Amino acid sequence: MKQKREPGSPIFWLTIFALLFVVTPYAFMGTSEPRLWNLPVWFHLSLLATLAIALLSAWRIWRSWHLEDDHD
Amino acid sequence: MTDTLELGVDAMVALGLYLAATLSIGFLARARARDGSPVDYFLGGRATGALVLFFTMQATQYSGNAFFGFTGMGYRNGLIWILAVPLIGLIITAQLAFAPRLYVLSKRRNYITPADYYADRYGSRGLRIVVAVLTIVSMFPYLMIQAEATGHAVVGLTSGALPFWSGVVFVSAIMAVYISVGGWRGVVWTDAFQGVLLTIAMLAATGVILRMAGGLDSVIATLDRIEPSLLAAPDDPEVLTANWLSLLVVSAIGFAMYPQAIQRVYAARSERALKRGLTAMLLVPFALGACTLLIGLSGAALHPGLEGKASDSVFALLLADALQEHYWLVVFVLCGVLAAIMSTSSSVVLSLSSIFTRDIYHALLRPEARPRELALAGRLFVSFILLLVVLASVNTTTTLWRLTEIKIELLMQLFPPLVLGLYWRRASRSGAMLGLLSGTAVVAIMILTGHPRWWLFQAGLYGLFANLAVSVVAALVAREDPDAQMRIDRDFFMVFERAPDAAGRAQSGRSISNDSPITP
Repeated sequence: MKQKREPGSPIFWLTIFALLFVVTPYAFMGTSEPRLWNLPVWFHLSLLATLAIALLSAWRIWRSWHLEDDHD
Repeated sequence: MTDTLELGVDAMVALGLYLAATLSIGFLARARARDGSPVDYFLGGRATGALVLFFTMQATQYSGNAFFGFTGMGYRNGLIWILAVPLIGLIITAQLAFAPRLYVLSKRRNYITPADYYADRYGSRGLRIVVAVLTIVSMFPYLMIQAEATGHAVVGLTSGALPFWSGVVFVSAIMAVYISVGGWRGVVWTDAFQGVLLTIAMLAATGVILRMAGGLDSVIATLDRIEPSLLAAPDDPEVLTANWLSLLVVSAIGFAMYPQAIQRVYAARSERALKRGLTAMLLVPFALGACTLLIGLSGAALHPGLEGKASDSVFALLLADALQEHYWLVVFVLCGVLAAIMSTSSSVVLSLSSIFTRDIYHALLRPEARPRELALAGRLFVSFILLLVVLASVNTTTTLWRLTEIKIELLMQLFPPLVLGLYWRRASRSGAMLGLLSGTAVVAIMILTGHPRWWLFQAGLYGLFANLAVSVVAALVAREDPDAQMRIDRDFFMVFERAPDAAGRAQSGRSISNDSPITP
C-alpha cells in the first residue's frame, strides 16, 4: 500500500495566493505598454501566472494526492 | 438576445434533431440503470469514469452565460478579461481544499447530497436543513436565468415561430423526461454530447468572428485607435483589488461549492478517475475563457458604443453579422448555446431533486421511506422543480432576481464548515452552525443595505471572514462532549492517518473507521 498523501499544504496555498498578485496586473496599472507580439506585457504575465497555477495544481494532484488504492 | 436573427425552417429542423438526440441519450441511459436506488439514480452508482466525469464537469460549468455574459464582460472590460481564464480555472484549484478527503468519506459513508456531509460530520439534523435551504435558495434563481436564456435561444432558432414561454415550457418538458428517465446517467451522458457541442460551437464562433474582425492584430490596432483603455490594465489599485482579485477568490470558492460540483466528486468511480477529470478541467479555461475574450474584443472593434446591459447582446450582434456567409455555423452555434444552457440546467435540477428527496423528504417527512420510494420521489421532484422554474420565470419578482446576484456569496459560506470539518478535529457543531448563520447574515445585511462591496472586498468575503472567526471561537469555547469527539476522531480522522512508514514513526494499531452508511 502506498503512503497516504494530500495535495493541499500551506506552501501550496501561499504560492497560489502569491501568483494571484501576478495574475492581477498590479505592476502595470493604467498602461498597455510595453508590448510583446502586439499585446501588453502584463497580459502575457497574467496568462503565464494563470498557467503556473494550473500546472502547480496538476502537479500536486498527481504528485501528492493518494488517499486510496485504486482499482480503476 | 438572439431574437434579431432571421433563420429558416431548416434551423427548426436542426433544433428538433438536437432535442431528439438528447432525448434518445436519456432513454439509452435508462437501459444502464442498475438497482433503482437513490445512489444509482442521483450518482450513477458512484461509477462515473474519468472521461464522462470530465465532460459533465465541463458542460455543467459552462452555461449560456459563457456565450452572452462572458463575451459581454470581454466587450466592456477589454484585455483584463483574460482573467476569465483564472476565474474558471481556480474553481478546480479551490476544490483541492476538500475534494481528496470528501471523495473518500462520500464513498465510505454513502453521501449523496452536500448536506449529507455536514449532517454526518457535525451530527446535526439542523445543519442538514440549513445547508439544504441555503443551497436551494442560492440555486433556484440560477435555474431561472437558464430558463430565460433557453427561451431566447429557442426564439432565435425558430425566428419567433415558437414564442418565448412556449420555448421555455417545451425545452423544460424535454429535460424533465430525460432527467426522470435516465437519472444521473441521463444527465451526464447528455452532458458529454452537449459538452462536445458547446466546445466546438464556441471555438468555431471565435474563429469566424475573429476572421470577420480581420484577425487579432487588426482588432488590437482598431482598439488602440478607438478605445485604448480596453488594452490597458485598470489604473486604480482599489478597482483591481475590489473588482478583480476579490472576484477571483469569491468565484473560486463559491463556484466550487455548487452542489452539482460537489456531487461530481461523490460520483467518481475511483480516486484516479477524479484526479484525471479535475486535471483535464484545469486546461479547459485556456481555450474557452480565451474565446470569450476574443469574441468580446472583436465585438468592441466591430460594434463600439454598446453600454451596460446592451453589451451582453454583442455575441448575438456578431452572429447576425455572420449569418449571410456562415448560415449553418450560426445555426450550429445556437444549438451549442442551447446545449450549454440545458447541460447546466439538467445537472442543477437533478442536484436540487436529490436535495429535496434526501434532505427534506427523507430526513424530515418520511424517514421510513425505502430506497425505491426515494428514487421515485426524486423523479417526481425533477418535474416539480422544472414546473416551479417555469412558473417563477413567468411571474418573476425582483427579490428572486436579486438572489441571482448573490448566489455565489451565499454558497461560499458553506466552505468554512466543510474545510474546517475535514481538517480540524475540534471543529464543532455549534461552531459550524453559528459560523454559517453569521456569514449568511453578514452577506444578507450588506446586500440588503446596498453594499455588495465595501472598500476592497465583496460582501461574500466579509461573510467568509465572520463565518471563520465565529466557527473557530465557538469551537474553542464550547467543546464537543467526549463521546461526540471520539466519534469524530474515529470516523473522520483516523481514516486519513498515514500508514506506518519504514521507520515506523507513525502511530500504528488503530483501526480504519467502520464503513456503515449514515442514516439521514
